[in-house]
Amino acid sequence: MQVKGKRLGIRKHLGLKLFKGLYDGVVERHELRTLFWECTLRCNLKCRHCGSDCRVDVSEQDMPLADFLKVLDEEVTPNVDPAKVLIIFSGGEVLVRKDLEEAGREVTKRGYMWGMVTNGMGLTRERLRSLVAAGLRTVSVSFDGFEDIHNYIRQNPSSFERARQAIAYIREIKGLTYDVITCATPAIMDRLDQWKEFLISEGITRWRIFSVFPAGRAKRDETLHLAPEQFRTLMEFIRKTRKESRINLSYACEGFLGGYETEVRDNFYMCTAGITVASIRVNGDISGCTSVRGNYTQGNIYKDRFWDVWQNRFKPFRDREWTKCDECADCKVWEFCRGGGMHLRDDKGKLMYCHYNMLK
Amino acid sequence: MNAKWKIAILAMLGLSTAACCSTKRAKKGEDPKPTETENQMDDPRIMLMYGVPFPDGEVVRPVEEESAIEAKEEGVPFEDGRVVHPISEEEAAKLIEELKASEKAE
Repeated sequence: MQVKGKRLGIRKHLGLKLFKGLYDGVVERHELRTLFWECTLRCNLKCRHCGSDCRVDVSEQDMPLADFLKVLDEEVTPNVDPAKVLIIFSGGEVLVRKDLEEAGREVTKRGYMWGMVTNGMGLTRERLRSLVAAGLRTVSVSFDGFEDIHNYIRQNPSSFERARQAIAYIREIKGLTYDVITCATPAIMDRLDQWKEFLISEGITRWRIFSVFPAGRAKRDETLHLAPEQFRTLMEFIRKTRKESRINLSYACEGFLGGYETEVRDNFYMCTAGITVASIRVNGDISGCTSVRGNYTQGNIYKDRFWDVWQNRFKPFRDREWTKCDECADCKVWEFCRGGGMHLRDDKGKLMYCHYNMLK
Repeated sequence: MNAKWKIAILAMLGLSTAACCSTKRAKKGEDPKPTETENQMDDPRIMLMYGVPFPDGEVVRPVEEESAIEAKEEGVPFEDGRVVHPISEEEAAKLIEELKASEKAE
């Protein structure tokens, strides 16, 4: 039976009411659990859907490792249990950094777990093994569809094969947590089932799907945006696949999904940017997720004390009353959604994309 | 209403796993009783937009290394076809005694 789109049903409605209280507790505690380090903006691809914040100058130099470690040593480590904090190296494409292993070793030495997201282009078996030796615990690889689709999005004729090979290398490492991430575009929609079978045949066990939101380069490219009926089909596909239990599939953390809450993800929707998640961007800016626009920056490691910023700023992230405007003003699910993901807000705070409204 | 009650009601609704993120589950043959730390509610680990899955908690090891460890337990193969098995400390002590005895006899 199909989920009735936006409609929650009594059980989920009650569940969300209770979860709301638990969410408030998470906001109040605002314990740092994930720290992104945007270590570079350099990239070996020029993907059509890249959501990079175009306000940031891509000629920006990589942040020196010593600067990041200084923040860890002086600001973060004295205030957290490193075993509970996951550090994610993000980019750009992280593998373009030659000192990634050194960074990994230093982070591991301090008791943190670390992981990275990659397009797989620069991942050889040797490089992966040296990263694992440097403490790499978890990795995500972008894999957007069959060769024609992936190479179109990535704008590189060898990107599919390289990603496929990278995943094969990753699978050789026992105990290394991984998933593959597919950006769902109209081109893959008719072939989702075949794509699923392909991934399963490749031995992939964990899969994540996200859809494009109108920011960065993706804003102007209509070939990447799902129509509401396609979005609904995608939700049904994920729901069905999860019931099959042949591959662990989930939809990304993007937005509130009405009746599909808990059907397409393991957890109820919540945007944890600035609540349990912080990022240190390539220029030293301190923010929530790296996908959040530049003007939500809360400080800069070269001017401010990171821990002071984390404790005392981040108000727009922790109190989202300000999002109750425009189409959210009278929305009956705002109490569960709280204005959607912070990354979906434009420079003026306006919502760029509403997942809930896509479920018509 | 405190967090434990909320979780309990969510459990009755079949939604507790969606609200908390206890990834530790008792495996077959393990004591299913939760430890003190497992009883505490943990903040949900949300799969982030540009994030990575939370590590499963296993020790990361290349597959080849794994098979090398197994090979050591079974014996180490040499190029000429011999397989050398590691010996226990007791066996080693016995061997040393035998060597000393044969040296004395000589």
